[in-house]
Amino acid sequence: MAHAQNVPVLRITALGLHADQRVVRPGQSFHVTVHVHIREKRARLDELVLPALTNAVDLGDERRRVPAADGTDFYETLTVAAQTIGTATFTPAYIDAIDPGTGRGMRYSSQPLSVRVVLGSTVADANSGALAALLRKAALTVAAIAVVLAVAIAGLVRLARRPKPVVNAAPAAPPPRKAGPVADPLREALRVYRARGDDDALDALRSVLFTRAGAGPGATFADALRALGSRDPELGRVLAVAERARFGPVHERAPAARDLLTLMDAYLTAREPGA
Amino acid sequence: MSTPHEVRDALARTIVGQREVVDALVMGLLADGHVLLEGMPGVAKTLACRALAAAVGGIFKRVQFTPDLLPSDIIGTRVFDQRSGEFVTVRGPLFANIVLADEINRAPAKVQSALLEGMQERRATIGPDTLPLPRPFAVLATMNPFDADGTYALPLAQLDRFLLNVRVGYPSREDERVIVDRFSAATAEPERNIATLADVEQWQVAVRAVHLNDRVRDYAVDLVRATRGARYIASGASPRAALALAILARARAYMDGRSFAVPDDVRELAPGVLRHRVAFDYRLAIDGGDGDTVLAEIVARVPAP
Repeated sequence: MAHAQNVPVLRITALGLHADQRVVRPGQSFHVTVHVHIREKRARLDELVLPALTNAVDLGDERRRVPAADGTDFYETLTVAAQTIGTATFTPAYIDAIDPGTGRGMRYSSQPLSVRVVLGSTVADANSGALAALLRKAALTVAAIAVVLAVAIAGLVRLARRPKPVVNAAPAAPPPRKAGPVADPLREALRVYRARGDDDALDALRSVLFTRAGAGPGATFADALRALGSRDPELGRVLAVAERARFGPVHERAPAARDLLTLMDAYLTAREPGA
Repeated sequence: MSTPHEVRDALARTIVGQREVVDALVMGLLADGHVLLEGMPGVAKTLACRALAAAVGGIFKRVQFTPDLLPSDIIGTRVFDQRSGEFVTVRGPLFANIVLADEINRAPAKVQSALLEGMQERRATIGPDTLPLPRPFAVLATMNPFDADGTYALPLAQLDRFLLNVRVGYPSREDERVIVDRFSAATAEPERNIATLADVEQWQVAVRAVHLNDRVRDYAVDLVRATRGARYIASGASPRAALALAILARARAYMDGRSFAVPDDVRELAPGVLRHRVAFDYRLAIDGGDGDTVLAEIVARVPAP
């Protein structure tokens, strides 16, 4: 509780919020660090209000204090786990403090932070995609330099020997491939679950099922059923079995997982065009 | 063996509406915990407790808490027996299976402490004798939170002993009409002996066996932790709240016929488990806020697995 009389007098020169991952899988843990630099020498900074988490669970936190020549640095590292596919967001961390320059109370806030939560295979895709993009850029730069050099050398050679051979133009780049139709996220999540069969994949599948039922991110089974109403009883059954497969006791989970795959196949088959 | 549903249905036939109260009482019994009912006078708090006691049989005692009540009025005392020439122990109303502590906040702290010690330790000390309380044992307490005159507020440490805190609201218009029709000509007579004490003990064992997945457990822990340092909350809930959420989630799953608890069990029960375990900041009152709304925001902020 921060009573007004307890608001500290602080010169806050930095307040940042950083994550060590930009893209994570559902269930994957990662670190979010709040860094504060103050000009004062202080042993503790209890006034720091940590960010609220959405679509992520706080697994623990570690507080570190580093004395600096011009004050003190505080690092609060949260270990968090992403929940479901979408975005994990963190509200700004903040401190209410009195600015010694003006003598007035102020709220010092960091920026908010968001981390993408994607299916397991997509994380690799996203990471390798970023690497590929970097390599592509480098290759294009090298190719461009090579073309310029080639043209320059060819020009010099042409000038030196006439008649000159015609420099072959670089082959035209093939037209960009049209992107294929976006895969059904439910089928994709089912494919991943069937291949991996682990809790993360099941969480992702549940999340897609909840969305299909009309419930938003962070929804529970009851939310999904409420959103679904009497619209699609088959989907209601699938949701119930998914809940058992995810949270049931060990001896019930394997049969429930098998039932889930069977029900899902039947559900999707019934919804194929022409079915 | 009877089922908890039969008890719930019997209560529902006596108590018009108030489904949440009926469910909470039965779940508290299944979870082997104590329940605090808060609400205006005349909303069937006491009747609900009497109906539960009647439905499960056993010994039922009611204590009307007043400012002049003494600990010995609850626990019991040592009385000199002239024939034997010795002091004998006379057990108080605490030695019952279901104890109704009516208007618990009207007795001073020493009396509340005497009761709450029994609630926690499940035994009571009278003179030199420490005696176990009967099994099953549950305290159902009522309290009117709006009438502060002549009351002694229960400290947080004591409130923490209650597994659930249920807000008993006014009935709907339709329910109120049924109440008038049903009880204006006759008094409410709870249904008796729907289940036995042995049944209750077996249910309590079965509830403990309900599976609690790690992620559901973590969700309960996260919800409790989210109350600490939250806006408008001066002091957050204790680990006992996480324990309460876990056992109540199991009880709700058992009531629902499931062998496992799901995140919904935790989420639905969180307000009743948390509202009496957190101290709200004075700024909540200044801003005209409501504790349940603050808790609802916290619950909404913690993602369910």
